[in-house]
Amino acid sequence: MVKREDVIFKGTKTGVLIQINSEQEDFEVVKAKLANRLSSAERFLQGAEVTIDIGGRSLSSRQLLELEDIIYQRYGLKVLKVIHGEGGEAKEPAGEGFSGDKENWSPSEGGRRGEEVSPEATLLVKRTLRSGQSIRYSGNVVVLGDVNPGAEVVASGDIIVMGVLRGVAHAGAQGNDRAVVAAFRLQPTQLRIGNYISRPPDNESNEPPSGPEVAQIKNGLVVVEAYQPQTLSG
Amino acid sequence: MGESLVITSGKGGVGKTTTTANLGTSLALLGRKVALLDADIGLRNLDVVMGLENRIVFDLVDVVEGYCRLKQALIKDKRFEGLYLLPAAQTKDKTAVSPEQMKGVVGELKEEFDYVLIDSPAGIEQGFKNAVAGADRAVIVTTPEVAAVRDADRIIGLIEAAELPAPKLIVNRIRPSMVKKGDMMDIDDMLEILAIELLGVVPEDEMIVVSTNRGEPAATLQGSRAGEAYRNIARRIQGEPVPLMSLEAEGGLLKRLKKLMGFSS
Repeated sequence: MVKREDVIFKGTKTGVLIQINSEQEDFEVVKAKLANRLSSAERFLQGAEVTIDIGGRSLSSRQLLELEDIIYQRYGLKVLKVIHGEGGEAKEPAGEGFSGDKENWSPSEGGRRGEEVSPEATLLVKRTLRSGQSIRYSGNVVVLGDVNPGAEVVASGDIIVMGVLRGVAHAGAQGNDRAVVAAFRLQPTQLRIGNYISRPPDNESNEPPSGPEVAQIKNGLVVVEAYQPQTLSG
Repeated sequence: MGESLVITSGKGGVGKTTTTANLGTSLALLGRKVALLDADIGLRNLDVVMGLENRIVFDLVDVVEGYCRLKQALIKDKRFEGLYLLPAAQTKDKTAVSPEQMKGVVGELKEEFDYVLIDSPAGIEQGFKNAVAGADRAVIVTTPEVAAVRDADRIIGLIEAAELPAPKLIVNRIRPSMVKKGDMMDIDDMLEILAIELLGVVPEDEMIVVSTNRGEPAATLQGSRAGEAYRNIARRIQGEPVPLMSLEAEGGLLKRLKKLMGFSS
């Protein structure tokens, strides 16, 4: 039997599929092999959109982030999604977009599933995003500044803008419909949450919001409400 | 050692070249030595607006390619001592010059002049990158239109990425009567989005059309509102605190007549 490569690249309709087949248990070894293969195929992969297939392996969000970090930060490739599947059907990961150690994060007291503690990493952007600038991150994004028209924030988790959100925001970008977008002033060009897309109504009579607002999916619709501490805990 | 400023906007037709010509002229009026550098290779206009087109022998590309010395390509203005133009080539394109070469030329000009004003082409490609390469700071020109402001925002982001100090804003072609009626974006709307310091506001002025066609910058004309605004901006560039001029004065025929006849206070 032919020995299978540990890390395989495949061209697909949506971009490049990176299969991590290694039976190797040690995560550090997997990481090193991925980096090694990526550097040898840098040319071929340039600008590609990538799906990572981690097979039957179970990785924590932190480990997944490390993989994406290698792929995105070092090689500038956009990670579309992470799948579990023998090179076959691309099924969206359930729940928070990642299967991982989320369960471990449930606060012990109360026994409720820990919605109020996000297991995902958070990126803090301490500037205003101007037209043409874009932030893509696996995790939550907090912007200390405005997001201007023509700028975009895409996050697999929640998005919080401590300023005016006038551009495009996509929370839960890997299919998480429970993600939220909150902004000090929510005036987006377009809002996307998970697989839902919405835009402000066309009638101009709409008063600009006068306070912080939160957008989330409720009954299949993107609903925008004034921010109150209890808005999110429903 | 002088200072270099790039005048840029992203969007075309908002008045970069007019602004460069008028600010250069205004600075020269204040007794400064000024070099104007047209970075819009292939679509040069600054020479026309300055009325110096017929004096061009060598241009920027000739200088970087070593066909002539920088001094030979500099055209002396016909009105002001100390005002010079380095024209762009018309028969080449933006790729004829590299950012490094631009830096070299601007650096050489800065040794000789108090101010080097670089007229950037529209767009964000090589021409823009060349124009920004040699600049110490940037002046963004916009008009009160959503599209122009959007492009200005994009440009400000690129300027920040190029690690220049925060650029300053000139709002061009504002029509106070329309702003008053709510039909035109007002200055505060623009500043809220762009969040940079305002360097000046230039009102719409028919005299600009006449003066640019004649090759005489409006800054030299008394009675031109735009010219006056540009002279004020030039003083602010020098570091003088000059209050924004009132845009209200445009209203009322009588007031305008008085102004024309020199009765205004």
